[in-house]
This record gives sequence, C-alpha cells and structure tokens, in this order.
Amino acid sequence: MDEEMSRTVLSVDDLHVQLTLGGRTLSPVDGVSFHVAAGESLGIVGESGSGKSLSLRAVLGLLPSGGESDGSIRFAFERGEISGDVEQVRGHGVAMVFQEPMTALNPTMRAGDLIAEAVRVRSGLSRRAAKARVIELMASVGIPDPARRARMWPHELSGGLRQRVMIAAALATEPELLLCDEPTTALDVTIQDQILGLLRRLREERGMSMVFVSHDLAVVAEVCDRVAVMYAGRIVETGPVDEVLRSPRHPYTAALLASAPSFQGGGGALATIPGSPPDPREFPSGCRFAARCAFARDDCRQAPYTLAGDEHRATACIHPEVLMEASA
Amino acid sequence: MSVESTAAIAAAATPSHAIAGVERVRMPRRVWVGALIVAAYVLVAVFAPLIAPYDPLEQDIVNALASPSWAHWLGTDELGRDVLSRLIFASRVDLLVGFLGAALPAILGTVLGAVAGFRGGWVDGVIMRISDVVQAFPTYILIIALVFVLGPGVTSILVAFTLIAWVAYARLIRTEVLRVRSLDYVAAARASGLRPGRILWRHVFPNSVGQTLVYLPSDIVGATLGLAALSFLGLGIQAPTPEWGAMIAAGQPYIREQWWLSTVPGLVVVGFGLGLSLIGEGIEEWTRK
Repeated sequence: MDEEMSRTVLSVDDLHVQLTLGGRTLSPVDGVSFHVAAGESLGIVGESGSGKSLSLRAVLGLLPSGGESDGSIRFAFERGEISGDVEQVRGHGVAMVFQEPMTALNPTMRAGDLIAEAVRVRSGLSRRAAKARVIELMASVGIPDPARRARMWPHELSGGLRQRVMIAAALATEPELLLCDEPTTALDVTIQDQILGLLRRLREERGMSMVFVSHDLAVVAEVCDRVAVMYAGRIVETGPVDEVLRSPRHPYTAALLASAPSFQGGGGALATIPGSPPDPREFPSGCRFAARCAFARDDCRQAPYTLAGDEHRATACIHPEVLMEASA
Repeated sequence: MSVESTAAIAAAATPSHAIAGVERVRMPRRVWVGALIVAAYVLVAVFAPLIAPYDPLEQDIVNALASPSWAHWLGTDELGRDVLSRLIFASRVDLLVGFLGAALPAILGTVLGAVAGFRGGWVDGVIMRISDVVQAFPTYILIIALVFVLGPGVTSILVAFTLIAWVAYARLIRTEVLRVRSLDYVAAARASGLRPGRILWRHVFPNSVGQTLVYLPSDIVGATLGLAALSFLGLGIQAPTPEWGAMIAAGQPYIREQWWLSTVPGLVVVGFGLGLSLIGEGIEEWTRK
C-alpha cells in the first residue's frame, strides 16, 4: 500500500498555457507544477481567471481554440508510464467531469446512450452487454430507477441527475485518475453535498486519484487530501488541506479563507479582498498579489516567483511570517 | 447504504421534470399543414398514371387551346393535350429534381462543411477556398454553362445543381460546427477517448444541423424553380415531357385569351413552394425554442 501510494499518477512540470485572442497572446497559466500520487486527491483552488480550469484542461489537451500549452505532463498508470501523447490517456486511464451538466451533456443523446458510448470506448462490449453495464454504472452513482432514466434526454433530468450521468460516463472508462472541473459549482447546496459525497465514496471504492478544481475552499476541504492555491496563473501555496486551512502561509490563501462563509464562525460580515485580480495581459512583476495584499512590502514587488518549501508544504510568499504575527 | 445515496433517492422522489428547466417543444402546427400539402404533391406524382384522365402526350390538334370543360377540366394546350394530365405528370420530374436537386448538394455541402469546420487547418482552407471560387460566379450563368456543356436532361441538371449549391450548405454547417466544437460536451467526448469521426457524427453534427434543416425546404423550392427557369430557356426538360416551367413558357403566347395555360402551372408551383415554406418556417420556430 505504501509503495502504491508513492507512485505519482500525474506529474505536471512548468506548465504554461498561451491563449491567442484577437492578435494578443496571454499567459493565463504561467509555470504551474503539481503532482498527484496514486489514490490521492488534489484540489486546485482559485478565483475565476486564475488559470485553474485551463491548467486542468491542458492536462488532457482540451484547450479552447487559440490555446496552446507547453511544459511536461507525465502519467504513470498501472500499465506503465506515458508522456507526450494525450490521445493515449483519454478514456484510457484518465476521465474528466465538467462544470455545467447542462452544457457538458450532448442534448441529442439519451443519458444511457451517452454512457454506453463511453463504456464501449475501452471494453469493446456488445451493445447488449454495454446496456447492462450502463444500468450498473448508473445505479453505482446513485441514480434511482436507472433503466428508466437511461432512456431520458438530458433536458428531462435534474441538474443533480445530469451531473451523476456525467460522472457515470466518466467512470465508464474505469479511470485511474479523475479530473473534476468545478463539478458542483452549478448545483444548489444540497445537491452539491450529495455529489461531493458520491465523489468521495467512489474514490474510496475504486482507489482513484483525483484532481478537483474549484473556487470554493470549503468544497475542496471536503474531498481533497492536498490543495494547491492558484492566483494569476501561478500556484501560490500548496500543502495538506487541513494544514493550509488551519494556518495559511500565503496572504492570498488567508484572504480567501476570510472571505468564505464556511470558515467564519457566527454571522459577522464577510471580508472581501480589495481590488481585483491582475489583467493577464499585463501581469505585474514580482508577487502578483502584492497590489491587493494587506502585508505587502517593497521587496514583494521585485521578488522572483518561487515556491519555497518542500513536497509537503510550500508557499510563494517571501514573508510568510507576517501571517503568523497577524494571527498571534 | 450510505447517507449520500439515501439522500439521492429522496431527492429523486420529486419528479425530475419539475426541476429541469427545458420542456420538450412540440412541432408547430404549420409544419404539419405544410407536410400535408407536400404529401399531396408526392402522392399525385407517385400515382400520376392512375389519377390523370388522359395520356399527357396524346395530341388532338382539332381540339387545341380548348377552354376548361367537363371533358378537359383545365382545357387543352396548343397541341390539344389535356392540361390537367400534363400538370399531374409534370409533378414527377419537378418533384424529382426539386428533392434530389436540394438533397444532393445538401449531402455534399454538409459533409464538406462539417469536415472543414471540425478539422480546421489546411483542410478547412482548401474546402472554403473552393467554395469561394464557386460563389464568385453568378449562379445561373454557371448552371447554364454547366448544363450546356453536359447536355440537357435531368442528370446533367442535378450534377450542375450539386456542384454549385453545396456551397451554401457547407458555409451553414461550418459556422455551426465551429460553434458546437468548442462546447463542453464535445470536450467531454474528447476526454473520454472517442475517435474524431465518432465525435463529429454523434456529438457535433446532430447539434449543428438545425439551420440546414430550416434552409433545406426553401432550397427544394429553389431547385424546382431552377428547373423551370432552365426549361424556359430550353436547357431543361425537353419536349414533349411535361414540366411545370416549360408549361408556363409554352402558355405565354396565349396569356390574353387562354390565361390559365400559364397561370395554373404557376399556381401549382406556388402551392408546392408554400407547403415547403411552412415546413421550413415551422422547423425554424421549433429549433429556436
């Protein structure tokens, strides 16, 4: 088990994403590195525009048109190591769950057919055998009356059921690594809890690794072992979820925590982070959070970007001690 | 059973339709009215020999240019042939050219446009430049030139229509494919490792074809009118085979006295066009919802 845990299923090194929009080239992802061990769940947290979703999509080569990625992405599955060719891992080791269950399900395919298609990508099962497998998968993700729901169109299903269908389709390829792009953001709170519970259960049952992208630290805390906090295209802090939540070492993480209702006892007014994230067309030099940081000093604006620390815990802040002083 | 899945069952006990935002939209009634009209034309064309009171080619010079009567409901033409029977038989070639003259370019254009939009790159460049070249010519001049080279007849007319009319379909579907290609369910299909051909066929194409279906009925009318125009110019269906456009042309010299000779075939074409327009408009309304 220990040996198994030490295998790194996904390692991303120095990932850059360039987007060309209207003749201008942006770098919304600017040197991101992370890794996921077998059976581990990594959360990537950040505001919209931080580059978290693009980083995730780049892993499977699913960037929007005009997008190009650069950097090393390596997979290590039970069947061996793969790097450089995403075609080899799509539906064959890696699966992905998307944010909007309305737009991520083809409206012209019945739920069952959609899952069956994914089942048949890998298994080469006959139509009939695939059908049985579809019902089994739908039941395993908690879809009641799966035989009937398999014949329904996406628009006939509720948001929660749609998301379950998408998860079932992702599981159909029996992935070792599941990438989740804000899978609960579009859902209301009770359904969100159910889906998070489902993902947690499936991960335990199947020993899957997971990368979970969200803007919500509370959601990540529920399903992830480790977290990477992203800001303006870079990871600013990483570490075990509970440690990062308890004692953040980057002022951005601290500010994010202060502005999340789930971590504020009682009903006081929520803190907001003053200002807005920097424009990806002209990222400032030095620490990109400095302009909004309550603790910023002169040297912050020149500091080159490095994640200081070890495998366990790292921060890009050059003055992490200010947070300890502030909380003391 | 975990807490999570019992909660799921409780949540699912409320009808899912109540939560789902979109209702399945019914086809508007006009589609069915249009379909009835078109179906009537198709039935007449199929059963022409059973319905027509006379042989459409049988001449009766003595009885030429007769007014409508119980014997000849729509009178006779300049060669004494029964106009009603000729109209009925004409529907065969007119409907054939109308349907095939729209379907063949639709198939060719849709395939080329969908591949161009989906593949992008040089494939897109080549296909769209060819379409630019075709579009740069005035349509009718190009059709006339092609039919002139290939020789008159149904086959050469269909070939000419297909070589020219595919462009509109290619452009229509390409635009839609470019839109759909960037949607999440296509990314999801890619992520699950489906082959590009299957993604195009099952995920992109069905969601891109709506505008084409709206355009198709009006193009059937266009093809029928195109045939009529060619026949009018003597490049279409050759005498004595009855054809609506040729009948309109043939009736022209007698428009003052025997006005129905041109008018009735004209109205027949209008009726066919109306039926198809109702279908097209209805589908448009339906796809917008």
